[in-house]
Amino acid sequence: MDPASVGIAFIIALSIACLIPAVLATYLWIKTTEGETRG
Amino acid sequence: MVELSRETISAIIISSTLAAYVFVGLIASRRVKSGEDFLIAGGRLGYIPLFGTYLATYISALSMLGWPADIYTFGISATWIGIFWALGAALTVVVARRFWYYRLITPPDFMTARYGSKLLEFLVGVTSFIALVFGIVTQYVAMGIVWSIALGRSYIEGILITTAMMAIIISAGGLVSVAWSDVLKAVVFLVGVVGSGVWIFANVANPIDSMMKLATTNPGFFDPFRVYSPIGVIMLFFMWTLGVATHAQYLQRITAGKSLKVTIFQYTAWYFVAVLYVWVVLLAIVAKVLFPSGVPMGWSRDYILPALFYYYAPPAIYALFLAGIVAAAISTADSVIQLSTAIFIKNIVEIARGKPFSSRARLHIGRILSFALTFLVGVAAIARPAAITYVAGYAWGLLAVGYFAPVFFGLYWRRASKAAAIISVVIGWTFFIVAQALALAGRWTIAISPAALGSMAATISYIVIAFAAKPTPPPVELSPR
Repeated sequence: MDPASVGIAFIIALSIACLIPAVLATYLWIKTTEGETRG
Repeated sequence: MVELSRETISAIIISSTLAAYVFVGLIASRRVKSGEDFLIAGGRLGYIPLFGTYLATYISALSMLGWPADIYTFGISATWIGIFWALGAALTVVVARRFWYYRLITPPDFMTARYGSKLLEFLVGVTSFIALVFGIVTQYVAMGIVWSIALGRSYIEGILITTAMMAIIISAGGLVSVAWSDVLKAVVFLVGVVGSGVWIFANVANPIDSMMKLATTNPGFFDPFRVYSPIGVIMLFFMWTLGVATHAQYLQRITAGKSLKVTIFQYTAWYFVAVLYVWVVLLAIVAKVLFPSGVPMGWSRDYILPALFYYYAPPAIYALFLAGIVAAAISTADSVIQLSTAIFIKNIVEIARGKPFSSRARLHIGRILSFALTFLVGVAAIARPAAITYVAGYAWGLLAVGYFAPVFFGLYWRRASKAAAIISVVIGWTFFIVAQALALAGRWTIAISPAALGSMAATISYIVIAFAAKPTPPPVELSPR
C-alpha cells in the first residue's frame, strides 16, 4: 500500500471505531424504555 | 478602529469563557441540598448535563495536545491509540446497562455492593484517590502553559486563576455544578477546536493535499507499526480499551443518570468525538507539512497545535482554539477533583471511621475538602516536584487494574467471586507496580507497557480464580435478567 492510502485507511478506521460506541448507544437508547428512575 | 493584539483578544475570549463556567456552576449549585446531591448529583442528572459532562470529561488536554503531538512526532501509527480508546467507550456502554442498576454513590462502592468486600472497596478507594489526584496535575500544568503562551502572562497566574474558578464551581455544587458547567465547556471546545480547524483547512492547507505531499516527502510517517509493533498494538487493548471501559470517571457518570435511558444516551457523544478525533489527526498532519523539522519557538512538542494556530491563524481563530484547549483541560480537572473528593469521603474516611456521615455532614465536608484539594493540586502544579511526575506515572495503570476485571465480570459472569476480585486486583497491581518501578529506573526492556501487563495479569488471574472459587451471587434484586 502506498503511504497516502495507509493514512486514509487509518482515518477511516478511526472514524469507524468512534462510531461503534455512538451507534451502539443510539440502538440501546431506542430499545430502552423510560422505566425505572432514581430518587 | 483600534487593532487589538493577539494577547488582548485571547485574554478577552478565555477570561469570558472562564467567567461563564463559574456563572453556570453557581446557578446550578442552587439545586444542591444534600450530601448525595454534592457527591453524585442525587443520581438525577438528565439528558443535557449527563451528555455534556461525559463529553467534556472524556476530552482532555491529553487528547487535544498530547495525542496530536505524538502523531506529529511519531507518525500516523500513533492513531492506533485513539482507535483503542473508542473501543473502550463501546465497552463502557455494555457496562452501563447493568452497572446503573446498582445505584451507587461512588465507583468503589461496587466492591461492597457486588462482592460484599469492604476491604476491596477501601483498597480500590485509596488507590483511585492517589491515582486520580496525582494524575490530574498534568491537566493543571497544561492550563498554566496555555495561559502563558496565549496571553504572554505568567504560568503561575494561569494556574492560580483556573484553580480559583474550579474551586468555586466544585465546592459550590459538587457534581451538579461540574456537570452543568461541563455542558458549556463541551460547546466551547467543540466550537473552538472544530471551528478553528475548519478555518485552517479552508485557508492554510487542505488536509488531503497535505497528506499526499507528506506521503512523498516523508513516507516513513505512514508506517503503520512505527510506534507500536503488532504485539504492542494488541497490548494497547489491555492498557487503553480495558482502562477506558471502566475508568472511575465514567463509572461515576453511569450512576449519576436519572434513568437507564438517559445514562445510555450520554454515549451518543461519540458522534462528536468522531469528528473531533478526525480533526485532530488531520491538524497534526497539516502541522507536519508546515513544520517538518520540529516545533517552532522552542516550545515542547505537546504545543505543536497551538504553534500551528499561532503562526497561521488570525488572533480571533487562535484565541478560539486556545479557549477550546482550556475548556478541555478544565472540564477533566474539575471532574477528577470532584470524584476524588467523593471517593475520599465515602470510601476512605467513612470506612475508616466505621460508619457513614449524615447527608448534611457529607455536603459540608465535601465543600471544604474539594476547595482545599483543588488548591493543593494547584500548588503541586506550580512547584512541580519530581515526586509528582513519578507517582503520576502509576496513575493510569492503578486505575486500569483496579476496576476492569471486578466490574466487568461482576456484572456479566455467573462465576464472579469475591476471592477472584480481591486476588486478581492484588496480583494486577503487583505486576504493574514492579514493572513500572523497573521502567522508571530504565530497567524494563520488555516491549509490553507495565499498565498493559498489570491489566492482563488481573484479567487472566480473575478468570483462573473464578473457575476454582465458589461464586459470589449478585444481590437478589440485581440477578442477571
